[in-house]
Amino acid sequence: MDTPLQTSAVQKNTVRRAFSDRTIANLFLLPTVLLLIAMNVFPLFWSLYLSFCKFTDTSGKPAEWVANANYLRILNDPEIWKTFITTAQFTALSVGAQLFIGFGMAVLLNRTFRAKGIITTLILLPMMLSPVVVGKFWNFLLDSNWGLVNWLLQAVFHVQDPINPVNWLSDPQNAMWSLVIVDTWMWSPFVMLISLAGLNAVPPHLYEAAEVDRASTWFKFRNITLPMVSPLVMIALLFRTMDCFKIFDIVYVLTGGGPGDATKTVSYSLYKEAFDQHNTGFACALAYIILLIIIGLANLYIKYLAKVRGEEIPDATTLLGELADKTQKVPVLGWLLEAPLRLALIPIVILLARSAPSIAGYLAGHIGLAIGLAVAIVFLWLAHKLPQKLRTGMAYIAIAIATVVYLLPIYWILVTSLKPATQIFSYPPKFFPTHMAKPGEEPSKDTTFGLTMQNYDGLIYHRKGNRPTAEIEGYSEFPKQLGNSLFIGGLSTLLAVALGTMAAYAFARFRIKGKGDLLFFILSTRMMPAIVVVVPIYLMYRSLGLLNSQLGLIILYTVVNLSFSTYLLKGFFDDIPHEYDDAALLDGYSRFQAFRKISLPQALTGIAATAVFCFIAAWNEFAFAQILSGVPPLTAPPSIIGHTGAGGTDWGQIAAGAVVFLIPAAVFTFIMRKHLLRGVTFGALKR
Amino acid sequence: MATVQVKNLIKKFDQNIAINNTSLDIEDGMFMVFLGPSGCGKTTTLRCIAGLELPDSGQILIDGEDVTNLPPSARDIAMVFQQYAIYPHMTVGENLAFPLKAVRTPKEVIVQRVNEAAKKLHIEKLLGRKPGKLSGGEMQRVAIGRAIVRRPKVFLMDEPLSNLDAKLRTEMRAEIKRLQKDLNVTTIYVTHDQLEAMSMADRIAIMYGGSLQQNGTPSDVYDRPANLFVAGFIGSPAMNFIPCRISDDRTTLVFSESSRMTIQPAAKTRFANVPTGRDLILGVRPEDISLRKDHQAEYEESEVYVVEPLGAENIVDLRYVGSALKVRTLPTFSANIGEILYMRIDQSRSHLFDSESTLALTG
Repeated sequence: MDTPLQTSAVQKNTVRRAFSDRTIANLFLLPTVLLLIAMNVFPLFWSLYLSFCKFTDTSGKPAEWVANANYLRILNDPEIWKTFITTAQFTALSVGAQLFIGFGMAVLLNRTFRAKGIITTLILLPMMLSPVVVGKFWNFLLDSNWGLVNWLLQAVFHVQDPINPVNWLSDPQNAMWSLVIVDTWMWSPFVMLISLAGLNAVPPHLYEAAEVDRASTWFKFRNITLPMVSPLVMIALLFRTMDCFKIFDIVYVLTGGGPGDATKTVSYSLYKEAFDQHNTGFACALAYIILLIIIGLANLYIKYLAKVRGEEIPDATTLLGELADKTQKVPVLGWLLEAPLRLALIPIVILLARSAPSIAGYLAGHIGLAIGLAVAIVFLWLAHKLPQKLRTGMAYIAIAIATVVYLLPIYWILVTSLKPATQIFSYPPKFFPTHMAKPGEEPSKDTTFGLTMQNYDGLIYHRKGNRPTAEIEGYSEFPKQLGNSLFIGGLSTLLAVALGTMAAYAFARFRIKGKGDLLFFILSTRMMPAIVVVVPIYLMYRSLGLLNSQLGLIILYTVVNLSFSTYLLKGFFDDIPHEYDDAALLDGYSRFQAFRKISLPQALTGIAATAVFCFIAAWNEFAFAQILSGVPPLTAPPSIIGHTGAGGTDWGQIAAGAVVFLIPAAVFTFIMRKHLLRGVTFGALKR
Repeated sequence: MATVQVKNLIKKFDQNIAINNTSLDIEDGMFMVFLGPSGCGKTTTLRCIAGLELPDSGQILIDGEDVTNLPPSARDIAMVFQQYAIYPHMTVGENLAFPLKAVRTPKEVIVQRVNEAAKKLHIEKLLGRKPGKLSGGEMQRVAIGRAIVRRPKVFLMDEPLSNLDAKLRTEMRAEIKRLQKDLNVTTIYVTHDQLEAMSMADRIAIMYGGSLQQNGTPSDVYDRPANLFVAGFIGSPAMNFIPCRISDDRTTLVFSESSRMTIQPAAKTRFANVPTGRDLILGVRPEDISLRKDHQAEYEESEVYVVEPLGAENIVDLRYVGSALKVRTLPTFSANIGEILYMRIDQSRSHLFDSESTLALTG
């Protein structure tokens, strides 16, 4: 070969090489980044602008610039302050209860016994089911007259006066506790799952060494278990704090912020301002304040994740630090930008300071509660002194009780869905179906009942006069909505996983400039509360004609799941040694072929697990579906909770809808039980 | 079958320099070993040659052709990875066939070459199995098999034996060396194990801190270490180092005010070019010190610190002018802790290094 030819070949190759790797990285990342910018960054900037405006979305008038008037109003409005205090109260109580119960359950379950796997998965069920659908049903469980909870307290435990039943939802103080109870029931399994992982990860030889050193049980727990598990529990704590702070679904279905505004949390009041009062500009300002607090918490969370994972910290401070350099002429701005934490800490500190007295006052006002806590602690302290066998026996009893507590509400949904309308409110409640009900059958006197499918029938057909045996007048909306849920959930999952796989591969395999910042950005979009971006997205969809459309929800759910799937899948790709790809490259394959023939087949399990998580998230989603679809709603969750008949709420119908709706999530939970931990922690923790 | 040239290679990761201006020539059919501690840049150099990393500057030539910017697939090289990188979702046979399929080799040729390679490595029985069930040694053979079916221009091996147990490692060492000689393929082998390097290499390139320290035959690097790092890195137990100076009249080695050692006549020419009045380091291999129980001319007094009997030899630890010296002796030589022995350093086989530049001053 002569020299000129050779050089030209080399030049060509240089171009080709530079083309291939960087182009693939860009091609793989671009769709994800663009979608996130279009659906997260752009709406946020829009709502930032609106937050400085007087704007009503229904008036048709253009937004009018009012500078910081909205923010001033928020800071000076005692009602808004009250919603912050209510939120803080709820968060403190709920997270506290979840940590205590979840960690306790983890300690109980951290032993080998038969059916451990199944029992653990059963207890985890509440967390995987749709919060609104199950939350709605809690209304029925907590009903003061015929609710299961009051019946148990009166007839079984005799701790309540039947003449004067507890008004769980209509008494201001109890309404808060009801929220805490439901949220704790749903999410203490989450804390349990993470704590269990922590307890599992403590190397047994440490306990053996302590045993040799004649350490007591308490000493081992205090000096080995706690320090080793606490980083993980911290993650659970931060995660739950963030979720509790933005709580919306459960408030919406359980109390509607009431009675009065006793349980009106910030997210709920934001929803009211935006979509009831149509104070759009004001709502945007409120959203920004919530966002700042969430960013602060998310930042803490991400740092902790990185620490537990022992990885480089995907931190935005470098990015913001650069910004700060450029804004040095405005020192205050630079100082604030330098550490986003600083920014968010201010409102958190103010909030805590303002709400602490009321929480303390609350505890003081409920001496019973304080005494109960003290007794529980003393009991736990005493328990560790008991002989090993007795303790194990007690643990099994506690596990059995816990399993019943976690499953009872779900069981109650199931049996209610099978009851004839006349026996749904029976007192004492009917627990056990014994036979198929015959038409015109008298209700039994005991706790058995004859089961019927009429509630399920009602999900599909409209019958004349709403009588179960009458002729069919037409079809109900529900089957179509369920189909919509399936279609929207399925397609958005497919998109989110496909795009996420590409982005994750790029992150896992290529050296990308500003990788940490990009990952932080992607993860932070996931932490963002739906209620914060929903206002600009609503406006955006309205002007694009995407309201109440399948396409609109598909795009939205794709974006919501995209950051999650990218992050989770990156973990799965990181698990596959990059040498496999390297070997394929050396064996004569191109980068794309290496991705398709080597990495992809090996990541299939991970991709399937990610898809299931994305699907469950889209399937269960409520806030966007409720706000962005019309009447009747597009998907199943807003439809199920809206079943009200002539005689008030039709619980049989709701239960039937709930059962049909919950089955896929429950089945997937069992299939995915090995990946649950990884899924709920964004892939940070593996087993 | 091919020569490999590395010219002024520089590679940075963010701000860290992984390879600092390294140049190397590897002759056709040579077994070249890159040796050094972890983080010295040996693996990065290999990955640049493989095309898995793009260097920041410099050139890589295979058979005279500039391949610096070619993708790995266009370089006609094969690589064996430390973690083997056997594709877990393919059988052993499919793994071996994979590189051939990449270049659309006819089926009969694939079958023939796979069987040939399997036979050479004694893994015919494993062809139908999935990698999950293989032992470490078998995985190793499959990984090598996948490299040789290609008949590439160059073999690259990245610490291929480090995951095997000691016995298997010794076995495979010999086998790889023989295989390389049979196939006569230019091979670059990365390791941190000096024993592996010494026993297998035609030439050793010793790297440290991203820089090439010395490039030579095993006996070159052992007998004529270019600097303190090479001297200390090669050999086990390591070379003994004693800080010293040379007296102005070039008759004695001065360890301190009170202790000095006469320069032996045989070493006079060896030390002739060493500058006086500079801080030096005397380097002595453990086998270049002889011990006696009684005093004799040129023998110096020293105390036994500990004795390590190793079966084939005994290592005697001495304390001499504040430095610890390890001495290799016959297994029959016995000594007790605290005993006073007399030792003689063979100066004609010793080295002097500049304490500041660490470079060797003796040839």
